[in-house]
Order: sequence, then structure tokens, then C-alpha cells
Amino acid sequence: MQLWVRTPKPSSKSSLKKSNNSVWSRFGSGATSAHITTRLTLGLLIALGVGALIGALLAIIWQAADLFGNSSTSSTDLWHLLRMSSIQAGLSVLLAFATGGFTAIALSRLYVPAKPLILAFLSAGLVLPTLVVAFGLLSIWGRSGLINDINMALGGDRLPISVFGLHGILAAHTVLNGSFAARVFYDRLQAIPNTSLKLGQSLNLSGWQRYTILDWPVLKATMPGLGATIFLMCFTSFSVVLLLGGGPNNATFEVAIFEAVRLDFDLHRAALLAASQLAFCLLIIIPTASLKSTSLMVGGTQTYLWTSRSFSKSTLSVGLVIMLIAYASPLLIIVWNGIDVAIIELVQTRRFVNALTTSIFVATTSATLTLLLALTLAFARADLVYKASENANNVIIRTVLNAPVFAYLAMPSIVLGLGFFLLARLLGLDTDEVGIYVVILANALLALPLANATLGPPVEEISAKHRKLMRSLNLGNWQRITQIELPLVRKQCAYIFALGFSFSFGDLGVIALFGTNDFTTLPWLMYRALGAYRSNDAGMIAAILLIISVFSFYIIPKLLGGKQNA
Amino acid sequence: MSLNKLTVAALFGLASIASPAIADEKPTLTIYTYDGFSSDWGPGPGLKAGYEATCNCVVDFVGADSSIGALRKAQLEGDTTKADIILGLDTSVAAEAAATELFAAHGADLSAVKLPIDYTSEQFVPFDYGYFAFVYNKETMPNPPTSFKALAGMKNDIKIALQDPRSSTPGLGFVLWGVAAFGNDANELWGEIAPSILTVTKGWSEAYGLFLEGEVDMVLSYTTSPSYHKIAEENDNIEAAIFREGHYVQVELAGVLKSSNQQELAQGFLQYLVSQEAQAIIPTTNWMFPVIELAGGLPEGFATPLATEQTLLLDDATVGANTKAFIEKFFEEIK
Amino acid sequence: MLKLNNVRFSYSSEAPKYVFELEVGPGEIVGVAGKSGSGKSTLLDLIAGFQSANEGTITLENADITALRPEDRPVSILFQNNNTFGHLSAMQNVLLGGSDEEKATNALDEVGLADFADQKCSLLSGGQQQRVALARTLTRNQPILLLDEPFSALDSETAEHMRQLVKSLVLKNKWHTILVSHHEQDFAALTDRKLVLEDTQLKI
Repeated sequence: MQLWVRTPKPSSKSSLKKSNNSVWSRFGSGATSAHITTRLTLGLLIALGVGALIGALLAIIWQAADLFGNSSTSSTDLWHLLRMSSIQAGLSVLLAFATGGFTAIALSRLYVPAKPLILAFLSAGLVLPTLVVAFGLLSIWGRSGLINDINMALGGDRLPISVFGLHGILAAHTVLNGSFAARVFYDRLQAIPNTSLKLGQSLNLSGWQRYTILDWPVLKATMPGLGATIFLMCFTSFSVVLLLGGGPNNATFEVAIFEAVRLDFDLHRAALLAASQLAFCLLIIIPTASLKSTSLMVGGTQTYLWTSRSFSKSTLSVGLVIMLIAYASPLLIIVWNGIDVAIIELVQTRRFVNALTTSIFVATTSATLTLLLALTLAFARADLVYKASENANNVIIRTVLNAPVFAYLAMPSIVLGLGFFLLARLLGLDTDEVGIYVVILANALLALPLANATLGPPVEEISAKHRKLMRSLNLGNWQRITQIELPLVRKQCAYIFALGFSFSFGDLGVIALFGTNDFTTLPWLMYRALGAYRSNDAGMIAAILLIISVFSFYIIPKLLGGKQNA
Repeated sequence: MSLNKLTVAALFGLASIASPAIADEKPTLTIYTYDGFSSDWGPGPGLKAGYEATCNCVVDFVGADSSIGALRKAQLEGDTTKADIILGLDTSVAAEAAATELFAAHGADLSAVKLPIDYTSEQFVPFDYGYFAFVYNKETMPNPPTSFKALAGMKNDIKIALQDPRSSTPGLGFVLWGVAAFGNDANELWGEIAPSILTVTKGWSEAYGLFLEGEVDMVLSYTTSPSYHKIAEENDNIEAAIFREGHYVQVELAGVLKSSNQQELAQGFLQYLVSQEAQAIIPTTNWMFPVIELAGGLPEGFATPLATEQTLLLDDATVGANTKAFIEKFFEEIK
Repeated sequence: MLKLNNVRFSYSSEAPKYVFELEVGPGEIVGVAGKSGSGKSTLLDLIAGFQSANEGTITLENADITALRPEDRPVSILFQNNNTFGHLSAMQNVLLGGSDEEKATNALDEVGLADFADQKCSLLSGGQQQRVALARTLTRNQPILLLDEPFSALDSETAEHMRQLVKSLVLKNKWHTILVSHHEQDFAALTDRKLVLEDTQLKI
């Protein structure tokens, strides 16, 4: 008795064969076969708008050079700076992935108490002012840091390690970005369905098999967007690199731009340098922006925990503890150093309260803006998959959607500050009044690449996975958004709101030329205190900033994220 | 729920940034300066109150992120700038500022002004000054170097923090200091100091922070830095190392913009700036030396000005023409 | 004989308390029906080891397997979907069961997928994916087979074929099989006995 029906063997020469993986081949045929929908239009508007803004800022600066400004020669070796910036940024990405990936995997394979708190902590590192984290690192690893103190108390000599140099920069960047990468990776790992976990466990897959079959495909999908973002942030990381770099050998390209704007007031050169930095970064941005999301995991409804055992368990546990200590210690010591009885007095001062309320207002507004922009972009990306046929490429549109958002990160903040200032003047706005709105916009755009990298893949995957069903039901846009997409990514949206919120708290903004008296944010207050010899006050404010960040990453997902919000 | 929070926060925020209603009758004198000066820890509030008491006007300090930033802001705003005065430029930028031809003659009576060096300018009024010096902690370093040469000889036995001359005024001041003291031999000096440099930071705050954390033994700062610790923190351990070759001086200046339509008020403010009352505010808010002899003398525990022989300053023209070259040489040698 | 002896379980102190008493012989297929939420999946979780019983024992041929972790239990499971790893080929999925290529090829042959050995599973139909999973089950040849609504996602014709296939494999290999479902056709075609979970209690 035949128990099955023989179906014809598929031909080998089908479209199922592995396609040519060269980056540029993607721009071949099928590149523009997208149907233009409303969502796509909106998304393109935003993307092009950001691109236009960047272009406008550069153009205005160039033009201003004719009216004011000097011309001079640079005293810096640009090629060296470019090389150094790329090397340190590239290594930072690798280290962030390695440490972050390990941490995320360990967290998903072990029973860990207080997971929500740990996850909140992992997110906080990135959003603090980088200088705060750098000093935190020094407090532990520096010459007069904790490690040395302990070592000498135990009778040893001062350790020969010096935090200053390339490794110091990499350490700071890894703490900042690796912890965030861990958070993002963990979120993606949580999207693996329960049944896949149970299946794997029942089959007694080894730890390595689990990694290659379950974990890696999921992590891989996140890496391009996340990697590009981390690269850009490290590339343009200015004060940390100078602080820990140990000397001019390790400066970044932005130093040259800073010099052109600040010292020489040579605006032609400033615009040119900013444009070249942007052009160079586009080499990274464009390939990344053109990629389609390939993973098919959606939803994050995982409730089952497949714990590792014996040897694996102990290795992972030890490794995880080490990682967490490495990530958390610079932050914890900031709190430790900063919490002082005097803090009670500080928080009651008028200047503190003003700064706090301003910060909250700015943070909330820019977080909302970031979320709206990120959602629009994500929905647009999803439409590329939704209406298209199975293998359509839409590469050019995809690139246009994603690239400008990344490009914003490649712009040095001093150029942004100058550009926004000139733009405001061009539009006839009173620069003293609009400062706060510029900061809100600038902060929103700053958090957007990360928001995009976090939200884009899940939304796109929803469309990929459910599009046939949604199309056959002929769901309208509004229905699609409110009933299917938003509920499924509610957790990520809450997270992005927390991200935009905290980013805004920790960012010093582009208000350099806008006048800072009436308008002060907490981080600016901290900087002001530092410049006035008041390092104690600055330390207290830094501690408060950290607590607020961790708290918002802990609370906001709980409040807004719906039921599953680990 | 989040919408309500937003509304409340918005109201709060707007309330805090709304400028106080300015009475129609009183004219406003707008002064662009660096943020540290106008903050409530700085001299700004005191000077504002002091001048408003007599001028029948409103003084509005607007803080840019740095002294150069204040100048650039005014430059970029051109004729429509609200600024009447730019305050806080230092001598290293003075040449360039004068060349912009944006400044009017100050017309102030500077007979009471006593600077350690000869500095005269038609456009700019000096209102405080300071000397660059390396600051150290006498508990951890009981025997600091007493000269540049001595410092150069210490090599790996000492760690110092400097600032980048391209992004920081003290950083630039340090380079000019070396040139003023050693002329062409400054290049050798940089080479010898190089092993001692732990790092070159973007701004003064980071470098000073490194010093306070104990990461470096000495940091480039001002001779008046220890005064803050003595007076505000009652900490006697911070001292400034006095070098045999002398110290570079930084004079802070203020000037009236030609475009200002409050010329009288502005010039009146500049005159006020060098009065006893205003100058008395300076030491413990800006932590720099006053330019006149204070009736009550300097505050207890405040540093003492150096003698003329110990003071170094390169003239504006030299600075204007050679800054880039000096900086380039500096970096070449310390790589 | 697979026996659940007074196995008691509840997720928390406020959650319903499940009590299971059950016996399944070799080559026997026992069906378990019940309303949604009555505990059908919990039953399978307990046998597979994904949840630990609060009380009671689970024995197979008098060997106590209650304390074993899921990896070590002599169990194969077929879920409703996600039974294969989509990005791997049929052969690779079967090999995950821990056998060699020869055994895997034979197993694929036995379920009628010999021509699809190198096909990526995400490109196979639902029924074909279930058959890959069955092939893997064959190579593992564990004495216990748990079926969690395995045919619900298939069309009636394919489901019918699958039922026949499963039945013949179970008989041939003498697996102790429990089928959880709410389709009458499953019980009619496959099971020797049908039990009903009522009020979280299951007793034979």
C-alpha cells in the first residue's frame, strides 16, 4: 500500500541555488521592481529629508565660508587620522560583537536572577556621555584605580598595564558598544520559538550545534545594521579617543575638522573635511543599507529556557560573570564615586531642578520623534518585501531608505552644530529661542540609526513571514499597523523609546553656538561643573544620569512594552 | 498616560526656558561670553547685578561653548547680531579678532589697570589674567620640577597631561609658552618632554579630571587653580610648580562691537568691568587675577601674581602669523 | 510499558493542579483529548522533561526516568510545526538525530523522501517537513514517541497519508506513543485507546 505520493524532484537549476553573494551584484536586475505604496513614500520622504538636511548643512557651511572665515593650511596628517580612525573603529566593532555575542548567548542559556535589571544595565552604557564611561574605566583600571589599589594593598607592585593607548580606546568602546550589542543580540535570540528550543534540546544538540543551527542565523541578521552603527560611532568618537589615546598618534579625523571650525575658522576646509569623512563612511554605509533582513524570527514570545549543562554551564557562567563585571564595573564605580550626602542638597538646587526638567522634556520629545521616524522607516522597508515577489531585490530603494539615517552618524557634532546654527539663521529664526528644538531634532536623529537597526529587522520579518496571509485578507494599512505589526513589535518600540529617551539625557547636543543660559540639560550642567573645578558636583550628576538611564531602560519597557517584557 | 506626562513635561520645560519678561523701557545690553563665565558659578550673575544697579538697563549674558565660540557666533550673525559686547577673548585670539574689524574703540579709562606685561589695545579691555603652570599634589609629589629643563629631564619618572592646542586654549597656551621661553629650541623641549606625556586631551576639564583622579602627577592648568582648592575645598595639597624660565600669561579681554546700538551702555559696562566693585568679584568666581589693585587685596589663600621678569607673552602679530607652524612642530616632536 | 504514576504538577500555587496516571504499552498509540487549556501540552512536557513533576514518577520498563533532563530522556517528539530547521537540508536535519549517512538515507527512503535529501527544509511542504521529522525519529529509534497535534497544519489528504505512515512505523518499531489532538479523525484512524483530560485529571 502506498503511504505517500511521490512528488517530482525539483530541478537543480532553479532560483533556489545560492545566489551570487557579491555585494555589488545585488544592484543588478530587479533592483528597482518595487511597487510604490503610501508607506514606502512616507519612508522615502523621511530618508531623503535626512539626506537633504545633511546636504544642506554642508552646503550652508561651504557658502558661509565665502562670507566669513579664513583659509589656511592644515597642520594635521589627514591620511594617518583616517587610517587610525578606521582601525580603531573596525576593531571596536569586532570586539563589541565578540563580547556582546557571548554575553547574549550566555544569558539565553542560563538561569540568571534579576535578568531585567541586568538587561537594563547593558543598555545604559551606550547612552551615557562617553566621557563619563571613560573616567569610570580609569577609576578601575587606571594608575590610581581600583585594581591597582587592591593589588598594592595585597603587597604587589603597581601593575605595568597602562590604560592609555589603542587598547584603552578599544576597552572604552567595547564597554560602551559591547554591552549594547549584547542587549540587541539577546532580544533577537529571544525570538527563537519555544518549539525550536525544545526540539534542539530533545535532540541533545551540543552547545556548538545549538550555536550554529539556532543562534548564529539570528545573530547574523542583526550584525550589518548594528555593526555599521557601532563603526560610525567609534569612528567619530572624539573626546574619549583623545582622553585614552595617549597621544596624537591615536587621534580621530574629527580633530582636523574641529581645528578647521574652531581654531582656523576655515569653513571651506571644514565643509570639505566633513564631506570627505561622510564619503569615506559611505563605503561602509551603502553595502549595509542595501541588505535585506534574512532571518525569519519574529515576536519574542519565548517562554522556555533551555539551560546548558555541566561543563558548558560552568564555562558560560564564569564567562558571563566576567563579562558582566567588565561591562558594569565602570558604571557602578561612577555611582559609587558619585553618591555622596551632598547629593541631597544638590538635587534641591534650582539649577539642578531646571536642568532636570529641561532634560526630561527634551528626552521625551526626541524619543517620541525617534520612535515615529523609526516606525515609518521600518514600515516602508516592510513594504519592499510585502508587495514584491519572492526574489525581488529592490536594492536601490532599500539603500535610499537606510543610508541617510546612518549618514547622520558620520557627521561630526561640531559641523552639525554650526550647520544647524546657520540654517536657523537662514530661515530667519531667533537662535536663542530655537536652541531647544534643534537639540530635540538633533538628538532624535542621533538615536535614529540605532532605532532603525533594532526595529527594522523585526518589522521586515513580520511582512516576510505573514505577507501572503495579510495580502490574501486584503488588510488595509491601518489594520495592518494596528492589529498585526505594532502588537508584534510593541516590545521593541518600548525599548526604542527608552533608548531615545536615555540617549537624549546623555547627549551634550549641538547647542554650542545657540546660547546655553536659559536652556540647560543635565549633561550640560555636568560639563559646566567640571569646567568650574567642581568635580564633586560633576561626579554626582554623572551618577544621577546613570541611575536615570538604567531606571528608564528598566521601567519604560515594563510600562509600555506589553506582557512579554523580559 | 505617556501623553499626559508629555504635556506636563512640556509645560515644565517651556516654563523653565521662557525668558523673563523684559520691561519695555529698559534697554538690553547683550554680552556674548563663554559658558563658564555666564553660569551661576561664574562672575556673570554678580557683574549683571552690579551693573544693572546703576545703568538702568538689563544685562543679558549669552553663553557660547567657548570664548572662540562666542566670537564665531557673533561673526556668523553678522550685522544682525544681538551682541553688544564680546567678553572672554584671550590674547592668542586677539590679533584675529582685531583683524575682523568688528570691534569699536573701547574708550575706557584704563589708568588703574596694572598688568604684569605691557598690553595695550584700542579695542580690547583686559579684565582678568592668569599664568599657565603645571599643577601638582604636594602629598604625592613633594619635589616638583622647578623648571622646564628639570621637567624635560624627568622622562618616565613623571606623568603629565596636556591639552590639544587645536581644541583647547590652555593647550595652545602651553605651546606658546614653550616658544616664548625657548624660541627655536622649543622643538627640542617637546621631544624631551614627550616620554612624560600620558595623554593629550580635548579640553581642560578632561585633563584636570585625570589629575584629580591621580592618573597623572601634573596637569597643565593655571597658577590660580590651587586657590580654588584652598579656598573652596580647604585643601592645601594642590600647588602650582613655578618654573625658572617664567610663565606664559593669558589675558582675558572684552570688546564692544561696532554694530551694537548700545554703544554708550556697552562702553559703560567695560568701564565698570575694571572698577573696584566688578574686579572684586573676579578672583573667587573666575579664579583668575584681577587687573587692578583691589582695595581689600586678594582673598586669603589666593595665589600671588608673578613678577614681571617671570612673565612671558608673545606679541599678537607673532602669534597670529605662526600659530599653525608652532602647533605643527609640537605634534611632530611628541609623536 | 511507559507508566505515569500519580504524577502531579502545577505551574505555581495559584495555577491548576494536574494529576496524571497513565500506562502505554509498546507499539500502542494512546490518544489524549480534552478542552484547550486542560493540560494536554503539559502532559507531553512532563514526559519529555521540559517540566519537572512535583510528585510522582514516570517509568519506562520499570526504569525511573523522572529525574532525567530532556536531552537524556528516551523520547522523540513531533510538534505541530517547526519540526525541522528550515535552513538545513532534509539529510542534515535527519543527521541531527545522531546517526550516520547510511541510516539517514534509509530512513528518508522509508518515508518517501529519498529524492529530497539535499533540499532545504524551508522549501518543503508541511507534510514533507513532518516526514523529515519522522525520518529523524526513525534513526533515533527512541522507545517513546510524543505527538503534539502533528497533523493539524496539514491538508486532509496529506494528514491521512501521515497517519498511516505513523501507524505503520509505530507498530513496526514498537514505540510507546501518545497522541494529543482534538481531531476525531486522528483518534479514529490511529489510536488504540482514547483518554479524555477532564478537570486536569487523567486516569486510566
